[in-house]
Amino acid sequence: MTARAKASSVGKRASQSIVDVFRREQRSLLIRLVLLAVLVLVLGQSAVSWFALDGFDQELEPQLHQKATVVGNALAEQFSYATEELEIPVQDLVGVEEYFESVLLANDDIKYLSLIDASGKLLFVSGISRNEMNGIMRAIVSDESQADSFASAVGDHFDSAFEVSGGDGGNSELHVGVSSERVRSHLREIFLEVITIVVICWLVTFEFLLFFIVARVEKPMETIWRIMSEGARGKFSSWLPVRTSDEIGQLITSFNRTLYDLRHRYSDFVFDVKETQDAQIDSTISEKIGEVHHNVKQRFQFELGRVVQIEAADRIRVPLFLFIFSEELTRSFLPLYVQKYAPTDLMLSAELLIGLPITLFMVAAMIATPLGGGFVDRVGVKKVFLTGIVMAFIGFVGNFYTQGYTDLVLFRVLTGIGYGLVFIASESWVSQNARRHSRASATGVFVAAVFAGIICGPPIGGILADRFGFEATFLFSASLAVISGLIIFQVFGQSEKVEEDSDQKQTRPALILGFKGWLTLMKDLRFVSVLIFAAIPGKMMVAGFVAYLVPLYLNDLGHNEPSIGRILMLYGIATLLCLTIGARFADRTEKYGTMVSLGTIVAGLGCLAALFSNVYVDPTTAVVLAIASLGVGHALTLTSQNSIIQQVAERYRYTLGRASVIGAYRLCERFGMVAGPLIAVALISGFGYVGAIVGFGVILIGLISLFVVTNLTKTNTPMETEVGLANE
Amino acid sequence: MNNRFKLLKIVLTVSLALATTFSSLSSAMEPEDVPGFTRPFDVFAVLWRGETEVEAGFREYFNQRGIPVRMTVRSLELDRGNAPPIIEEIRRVKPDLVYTWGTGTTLSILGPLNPEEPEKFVQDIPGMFVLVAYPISAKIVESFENTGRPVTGVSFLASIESQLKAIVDYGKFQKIAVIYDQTSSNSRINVESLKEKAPELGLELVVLPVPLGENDKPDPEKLTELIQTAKNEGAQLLYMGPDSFITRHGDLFTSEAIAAGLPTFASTQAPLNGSRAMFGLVSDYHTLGKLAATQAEKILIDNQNPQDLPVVSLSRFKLWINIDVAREVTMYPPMDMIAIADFKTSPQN
Repeated sequence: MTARAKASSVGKRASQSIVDVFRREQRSLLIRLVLLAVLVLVLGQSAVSWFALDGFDQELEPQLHQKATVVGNALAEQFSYATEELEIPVQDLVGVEEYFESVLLANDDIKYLSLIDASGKLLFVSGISRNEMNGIMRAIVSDESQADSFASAVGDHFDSAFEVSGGDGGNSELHVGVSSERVRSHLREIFLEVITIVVICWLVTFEFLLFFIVARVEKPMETIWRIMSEGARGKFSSWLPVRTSDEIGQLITSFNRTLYDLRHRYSDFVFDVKETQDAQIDSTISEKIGEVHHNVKQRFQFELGRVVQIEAADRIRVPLFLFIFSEELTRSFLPLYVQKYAPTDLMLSAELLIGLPITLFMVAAMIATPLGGGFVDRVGVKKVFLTGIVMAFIGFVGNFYTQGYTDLVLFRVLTGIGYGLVFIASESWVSQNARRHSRASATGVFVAAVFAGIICGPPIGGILADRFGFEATFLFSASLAVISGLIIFQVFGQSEKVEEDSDQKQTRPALILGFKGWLTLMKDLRFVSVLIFAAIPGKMMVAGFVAYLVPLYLNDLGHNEPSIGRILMLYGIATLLCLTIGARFADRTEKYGTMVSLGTIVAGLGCLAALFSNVYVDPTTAVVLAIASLGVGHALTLTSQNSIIQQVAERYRYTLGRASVIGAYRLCERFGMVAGPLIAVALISGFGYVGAIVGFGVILIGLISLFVVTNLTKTNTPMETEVGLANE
Repeated sequence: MNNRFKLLKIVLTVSLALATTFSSLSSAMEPEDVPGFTRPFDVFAVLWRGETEVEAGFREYFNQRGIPVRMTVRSLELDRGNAPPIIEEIRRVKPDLVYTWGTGTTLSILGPLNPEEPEKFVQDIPGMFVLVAYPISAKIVESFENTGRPVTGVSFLASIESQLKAIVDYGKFQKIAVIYDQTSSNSRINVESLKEKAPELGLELVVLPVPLGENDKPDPEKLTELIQTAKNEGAQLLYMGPDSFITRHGDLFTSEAIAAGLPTFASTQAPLNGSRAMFGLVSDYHTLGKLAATQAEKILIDNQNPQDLPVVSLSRFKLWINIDVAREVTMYPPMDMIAIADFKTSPQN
């Protein structure tokens, strides 16, 4: 294997991540079953949602009519009082249109109000022009079919008429128009919510089904298949541990029994051969038998051999997904929640006070990650994972009971530590349990679980926050964390001894590397340039833009939490959809640097679209554009960043150790997460929201230009990885 | 049967005897006079021209709270000369609180701040005034916050700003006129405030003092002429302040105004009640009486010194519109005012 091919194969690891899940489907009957189940679910849910929305449609219209009736009756009474009690001739009423305006201002469901005298002459109208109102009046009069109903649908309006009892001039009519556009937008809102929930249901179902099928069916069968192909080569020395009593478990049991019986029969046979051999007087016959015995031994291996572990990397999938989900639930409203508790009497700006808990969360997670790595080596994945869950749980519950800003921050930090621990525990589990040949797909499991959480969390959390309030949503997070912990407790029931692979210890970079190691890395232009110009800015965007700026800005634009959550979800969806494309493209061209630049430029340009807020695009569209292009950009760069770092790591594998380099890189890029909210705070205080988004775009594009420049100067020695490996 | 009655009789007699003993004992130990406990609180009210809604509100407040209050009511019958015998009576009765209605009554009974002849007024009993338009300029108190004497009160005028705001809200008035009694300090102060605030609301102000006749008193004969002058100067509305001269000639004043096609705005209730002012922003007398009662409660029950109680005013005022007058001058109120105003018709109707 050439060094280059090797490097690209490591690069592929991450690229295969999500792709792998879908590729597997091509060969697995079971995956097809999962897809079928999801498909059935899709159809069922779509049908139910369709009927439900239809129901809403029928419910909402009478509600709006009711609103028109309440307002109309109150106004008609007021006018009747003026015309009948006070005997003011209806045409002499003063300030009617101003009065209408104030009513319209207070009831944004109502489109127009007008007063028409007994002869059908339009006296006063507000909300629409006189011509429009006359048009509506003509439409009502000409529409015989609706003559006797008090409400008529005219174009985009529902018109309701109310009688105003007048004096001598006869009765006049008050018309209240409810815009059906309002009904439509209400319905659209509900429709989007339903769609969001349906999509998330699919994702969650897919996650869980895949989890069970892979862990309980596919992996055991794969292992049996592997042992049987060993059997085809005459090796019968392995056996499988039985974990379940289900069909697969029974299969394994009988499989083990078969192996056991074969082993016995073989040893009986060997015994017979030995005995026959010993009984011979003729040494040539004895030698012949010995030769046959030797040949048989060569062809068949029956020594009671090793226990073959069923690959367990996938088992972390659902608990990790649930945990990420629990934290992501808070994504859409966290800054707003902090804002609610932020003290106003301090010297610090409100923006900074809102950004602080987010930054401190990241700091806590960042510190907990390498420390947690050390703990994993000492006490095992399960304990570290559970410790993380408990800390996060306390944090969530604490945030539910928050009394003030200080304890809010403290509990957030606690959740951050828990987050860091769970993250590193999962990462360690995956790298420890994945076999070498399937490490790429195992990493895929990890990435898939994280992204499923990132997609599902914000919109669901937004809806929960809207219905139950910010604080109560933390309780949902806490319960999800508990479920995640319970699954870990169950799945990791039997403590599994994992053979230590020195190459796997990528968990303690800072402790292993030492000062000299860091110095070496910091002098490596490729390492530093990817880190500073691409990786750190990427993380900065996630923490500063997605987690901090967007919720605040969208709230400022008048979006509610579900809507904020839906927009945030776009980031995860865009990343997930484009990850495959990005990975394939990077693998085919192997132009990792170009891909990193391209991705970052896409993200940066998306942010610059905010420049045209209110000019060519409305502000919300600008945010959506920025979020989506950030997702696309990240999808394009992630694989290539990994590949570059793998190449760098490959270069230092004899001096610093591959894992240490990667670990160091992961540690450093998290500085972006810490800095992100603070940069956002500075940008917002300096330039406002729109300016801050543009600022982020400028930072991204500025840094990536430097990356391009530094890498262009380096193109003279293009295959530096080969140079590094030349002495191999 | 008989025995039972006897027994009851004995028990009753004994308990009665015990009760009398205890009550005489307790009265021997306590100071003999505990207002609100051994007897109702004594409030001595001196009015200008008989009881009004203010007193009704005042009484209602105490009734609702179950606070025993005995009101002694005297009236000056529009003449300050009737004051001395009432002062005599107050000194004799020694009430817990003296209540006075109007600037004239308050000055006759409680006297001004630091009077030259304090013996002519009630000075040693807590005092409280109602319906005094300008207590500071009338030298009854030092300021609203610190009265400077054991007297407090309730103010009943809406601020000049809110009065002018009501005028602007009613119609598109640009020029208004005020006809006033230049001998009354109340009126002069009011006019000064108007001069200051009217331009801020974009209103032009025409100021017309009533010329003095014999005895240096304003001449009511000149009112018709003045209204015509106001009309000729382009005024679209006449403003009636807390001016007792104009109020006294309210019927003439408002009728002449209507004849000239001019609406009248009133800052007190009388021109709306008795005369034909078109609209006004005034205190509701009943509510005002209740507000006065809360002041009195603090003095009677909490034993607070009136000197420590600032002069208070209502936070909400009533917009009164006489719809008949509005119709006569064809100046109907705008719809949003109809929604909040109180309507009345002319006394003649």
